[in-house]
Amino acid sequence: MRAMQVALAALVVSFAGSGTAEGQTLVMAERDLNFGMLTAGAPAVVAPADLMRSAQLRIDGRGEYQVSFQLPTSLTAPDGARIPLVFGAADGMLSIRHKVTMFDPNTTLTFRVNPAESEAQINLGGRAQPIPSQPAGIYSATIVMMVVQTGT
Amino acid sequence: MVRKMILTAAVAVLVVPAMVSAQSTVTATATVSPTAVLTGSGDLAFGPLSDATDNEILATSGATTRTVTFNHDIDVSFDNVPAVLNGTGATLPIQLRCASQLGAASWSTPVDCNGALLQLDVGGALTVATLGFGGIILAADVANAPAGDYAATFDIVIAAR
Repeated sequence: MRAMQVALAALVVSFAGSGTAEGQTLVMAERDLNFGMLTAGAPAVVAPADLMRSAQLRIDGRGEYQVSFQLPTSLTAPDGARIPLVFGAADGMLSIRHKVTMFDPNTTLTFRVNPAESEAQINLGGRAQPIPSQPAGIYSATIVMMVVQTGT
Repeated sequence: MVRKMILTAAVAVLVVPAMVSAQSTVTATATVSPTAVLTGSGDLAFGPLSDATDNEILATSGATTRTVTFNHDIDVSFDNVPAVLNGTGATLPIQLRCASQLGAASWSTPVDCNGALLQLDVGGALTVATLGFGGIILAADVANAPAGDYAATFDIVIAAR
């Protein structure tokens, strides 16, 4: 009977350890993607490395992750006018400590945050393409980032 | 009793979720600056004047126009609209009239340029409007005026609305 009680205690400890690591994953949006003032007919590009204008999100917590995005195809003004929006193969940037990896935000990104690293930073750039007859106004769209922790 | 305790622990482990998911959003924004460009040239030229019949150029005739290209609603007005044309030591009364045409639509009813406010609304895209200019110089005024050339200028003002 005593041997079985010890085994049960070991199971409880391991359960508590893995549950705590998964529960601590935090995803935070830190900055919007800002194309700024556009001129009708002139494309505007924001590089993911742009520290002022690129979108920035942070994932806190070690583990293995899969990240995907719902990317809009256009920016929209309140009156319905649209500016085409394009995300290219190098418009995503993953930073873990000092290691930087470019990625295509149109595809799923898989990466690992090791125990020695506490967080991953993701930046997004893009290209806005206002047409020559683009009406004046403020345009916007929502970008959704979905994070799944697939392992510890 | 010991067997029941082990089964309970196994069930607790199974209900632990294997993956955690989260979602976050950011906003992409941009602002298209308002623009309005006025182009065109050419004077409102009445040419030789008649002292027998009134000399009139219709603002809607297209004789003298300016083109406004704009991507936001605008107000067009006119400053320093003269009531007379200036000659050498003499003046010649004139009534200037202005009208507008959005794209290929009909012309607006001509109005006195002095104090006029033409409100032009942008459509769903870049809009082009034509401003037309005309006026009347009365025959009686011509009859009273010394021979010579008479001229004056005025300003077109475009403001965002």
